[in-house]
Amino acid sequence: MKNKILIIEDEELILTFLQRRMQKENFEVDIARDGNEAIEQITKNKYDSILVDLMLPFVSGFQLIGHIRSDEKNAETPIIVVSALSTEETIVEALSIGATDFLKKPLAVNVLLTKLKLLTSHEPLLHSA
Amino acid sequence: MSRVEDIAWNLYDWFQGYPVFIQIALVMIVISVALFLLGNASLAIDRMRASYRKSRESTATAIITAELVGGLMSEEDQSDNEFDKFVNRIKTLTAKSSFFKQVVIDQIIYYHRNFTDSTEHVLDKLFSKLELADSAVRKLKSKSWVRKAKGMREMQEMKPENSVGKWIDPLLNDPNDDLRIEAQATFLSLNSDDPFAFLSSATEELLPWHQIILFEIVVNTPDLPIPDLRDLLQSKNDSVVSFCIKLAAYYQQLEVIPELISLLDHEDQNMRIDALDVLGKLNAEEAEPVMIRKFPLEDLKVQIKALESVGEIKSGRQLEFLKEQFLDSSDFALIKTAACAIVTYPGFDKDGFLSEPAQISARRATIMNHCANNLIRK
Repeated sequence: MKNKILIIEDEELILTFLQRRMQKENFEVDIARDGNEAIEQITKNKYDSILVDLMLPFVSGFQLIGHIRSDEKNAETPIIVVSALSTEETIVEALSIGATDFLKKPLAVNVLLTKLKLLTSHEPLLHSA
Repeated sequence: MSRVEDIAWNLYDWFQGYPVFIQIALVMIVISVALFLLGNASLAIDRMRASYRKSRESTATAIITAELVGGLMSEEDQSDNEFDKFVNRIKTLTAKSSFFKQVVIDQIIYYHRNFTDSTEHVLDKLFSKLELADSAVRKLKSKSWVRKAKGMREMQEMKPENSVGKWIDPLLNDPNDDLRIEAQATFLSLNSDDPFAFLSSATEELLPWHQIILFEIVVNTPDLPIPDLRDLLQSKNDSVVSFCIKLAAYYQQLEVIPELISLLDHEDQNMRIDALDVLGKLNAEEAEPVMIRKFPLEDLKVQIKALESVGEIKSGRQLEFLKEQFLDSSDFALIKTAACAIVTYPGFDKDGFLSEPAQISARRATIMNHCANNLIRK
């Protein structure tokens, strides 16, 4: 069964690229372009991993992390924050409110993919390589 | 007489039949109505143009995004042959019109800014194969400064290999602030041998926001050669000196300490404050005697910075000076700064010092205790 991930990103070009890249890596991908859309998706579905940008319209990435952690279905879902806001304070805050990992923009897609595979797979990556 | 001429003469006769002030009012009404119609027509045309452009842009963006993302997706397992096919597909798009070409450039730059490593590498290769650097150079030759600036921004992001100095150099001292900073940022990004050379010939001011942009490039460009700031700190252009003081702190250039000490005589107060700040950061013990000698002659702001720097240098030789400032100053900011400098100064015994109430007022003791409290952010 494919692992299901949610990408929450308001930049259309980045979203398109990440979505297609993840699909190519055999993930089932849902997308959300703003905080409200993301909350709708999170309430309806259970995800294996969620990618969150911090600067989003309507609901900020920080608020979304809190929302995901309080959602019954996704409380345990790994959250990767992908953001250009990468000061020490931002990273510490994101991790302390429940993010699993933090990746800075500009983003190395292969690093993101490896982390996603690690977080969504129960087997060590070396076995699947 | 034709029918049109007939109507015109009738209208003229009708107009002539009115008194002069009515004639003037009629002319004004006609002009107003004409201007109103013209204004609305021009607005409508502008909106139609914008909407046409937007729809064209969204069509072009959709087509180009699909092609680019397709090519970028298979970045690693792509053979040369496949990559060439990908390049040809994008080339076909750029050949459609200059509009399509610009959308391709904008998207490559956008992805380049947001992705790194393998994606960045593919984009660099694509930019080079499509010879898009030529398009940036052509923009530099334009008469419009906006196009010139756009061309330079494209170069800063994509860093093409061909030399563009011929086009950039004349713009380094352009009176237009926006154009000048783009030229300087491009020079700094592309000139790997001597990226700071433009500073020695800078005649125009490096505005504070210029300095932020340049500093960001310095911080974010790996392997940038470290400049020799000694001559630049003696520049006649004060804004260059101000920028170089910041660079001296960033690069921890101990060899420029003598030049920084000379700047303590600078007529501009901010320059003296900046120099004091960096001398503190560089732990320049040799600057302490000059700082202390000039202290009584300085303005309050400079005095505060001097106390902070002496406290930061912590040579252990200026304890008496700091105590004197703490005990004798009447200004609260000076007392507090001196107290904060003293409490962490080598060899200072706070409890012993405060146990002599005859020389320390309760107010000063409170200030010192405040500074010594690690839980309070100063």
